[in-house]
This record gives sequence, C-alpha cells and structure tokens, in this order.
Amino acid sequence: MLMDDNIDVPLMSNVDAAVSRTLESMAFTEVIPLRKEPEASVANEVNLWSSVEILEPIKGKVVLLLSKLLADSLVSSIYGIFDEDELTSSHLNDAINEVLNTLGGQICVELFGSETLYNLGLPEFGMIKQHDEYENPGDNWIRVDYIVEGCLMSVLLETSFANFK
Amino acid sequence: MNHRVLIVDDSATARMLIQRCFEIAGWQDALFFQAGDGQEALDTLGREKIDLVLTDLNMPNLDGEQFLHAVRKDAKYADMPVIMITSTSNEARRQQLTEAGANVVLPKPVSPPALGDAIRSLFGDVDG
Repeated sequence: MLMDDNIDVPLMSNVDAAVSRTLESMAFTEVIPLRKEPEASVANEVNLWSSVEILEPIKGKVVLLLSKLLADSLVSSIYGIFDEDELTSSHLNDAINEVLNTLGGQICVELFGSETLYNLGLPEFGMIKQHDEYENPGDNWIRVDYIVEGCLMSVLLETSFANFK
Repeated sequence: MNHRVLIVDDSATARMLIQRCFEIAGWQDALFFQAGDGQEALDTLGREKIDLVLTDLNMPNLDGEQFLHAVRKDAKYADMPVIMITSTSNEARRQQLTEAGANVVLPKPVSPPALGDAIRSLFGDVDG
C-alpha cells in the first residue's frame, strides 16, 4: 500500500522527519518526499533492502529499499571515499545497515517520543530478489517514497506502527 | 598530549562516524583504537593504555552494559572515563547507566557538539 495524502498524515510526517534527519546527519544529503506512485523505470532500479526489527515498545519492522547506485553514492558520502575501487561490499553492507539502524531509532523517537525506551534487533541486508514481499508489499505494509540524489528510496513499515498512534 | 580513545561499536561505519565527531570536536590528534564488541574492547584494554572509552549499548557477544559492568568491577579501570551511547533519552535509563558507572550518556546519533560538551566535561578544554 502506498502512503498518500489520504492516509495518516502525522505518521507520514514522523517518517519524513526521521528519514531527513538520518540522511542529512550521516550522508549530508537532501531527501525529497515523493507523494505519487513512482515511474516504473525508476522503481525497477531498486534492488537492495535492509531491514531491522523493532522489539520494543511494540513489535514491528522497518525496511529500507534502494538501488545499488544510490547505496554506492550514500556510502561514498558517509565514508568520504569517492573512488569506486576503494569501496568494498563490506563498506556497503555495514553502512546501509547503520543507516537503517539509525533510521529505525529515529522513527521510534518520532512515533513513541524520546522518553520511551525502545529496542531494535540487528539489521540485515540483501537483494530484493531474495524477498519478493518487499518488491510487492501486501496490505500489512505501508510504503513511504523519497527521491534521494535523483534515485528512488522507499521506507516500508509494518502496519503495527500505524495502529500504534 | 595525545589522548588514547577506544571506540566500541559493532558497526565499522558507526566507529568511523564517531571518530569523525571526535576530530571535528577538536580531538584530531588523539590516537583511536576500535573494537567490535565488549569482549574485543576488554582485550584492547588489556593491551593498550586507554584514556577514554566511548561505547554503544546494543552489540553482539558482550554488549555495552555488560562491558561497563566488567570495567567497573576491575580496579585498574575504576577511574577510566566511559561515554555510553544510547538510542533513547529516557531519563530512568540514563540514570541506570550512570549508576552502573557511565560518566556520560549520549543519545544516538552522536553529534560533534554533543561529543565536544561531553569531552570538555571530562577533560576540560584540552585538545585531543
């Protein structure tokens, strides 16, 4: 389900704030919310996922979907390495997982307040092909899309988050 | 004086970002050591003289809180400053960590100004 203007605007604002704060502080990059269905050609470029489970105060999951191109660009910015040959898959996995870990924490702060104790699992990372449900998320997911450095980036939230508020 | 700082986090990216925060906060001449979990950090403490530890909480094997308890139980490290990073601003949790021996508790993500304030509270206005 794509999150649009008819669906829980406060939740969307919470996610927007968390995404902006995370990417601006870690990768020094601007995030533009996308409030319409992305073009198929752009959506098809998305081929990586990173996910983290929220263990407290509610059970849930946050998933980040992005293209390898965007992932490489974010990792270059985070590490300050702009020679592609110096960037390893280890840099990529670790940096994207850390982005998602920080994002998961920021989403919890936005949704539950900074005084609430929350607990995240350890982040995982993989290719979209290994997780069809991320490519075509069902009704138990909410998707919020962004344009980052000209590429599509999506955040998937299990709907338990929407039901919390 | 070159301070010797041990950064403990299971993410190499987080360790690099924290080191960058130290450098921006004026500790660019410090000597940095890194550990991926609490056990590695204890091993490093056994080998190296460390002036300051900054550790995450959520790590595999020995987590940050277990590491803190182990450090404070050892008389050798009784006075060694430890900064803990948590993902919550919950006052009760911060108090719990302070009572367990953390000198400073900082929220995630760490920022250079917040880290600078923490360093100054521990070492005064000294460069790294």
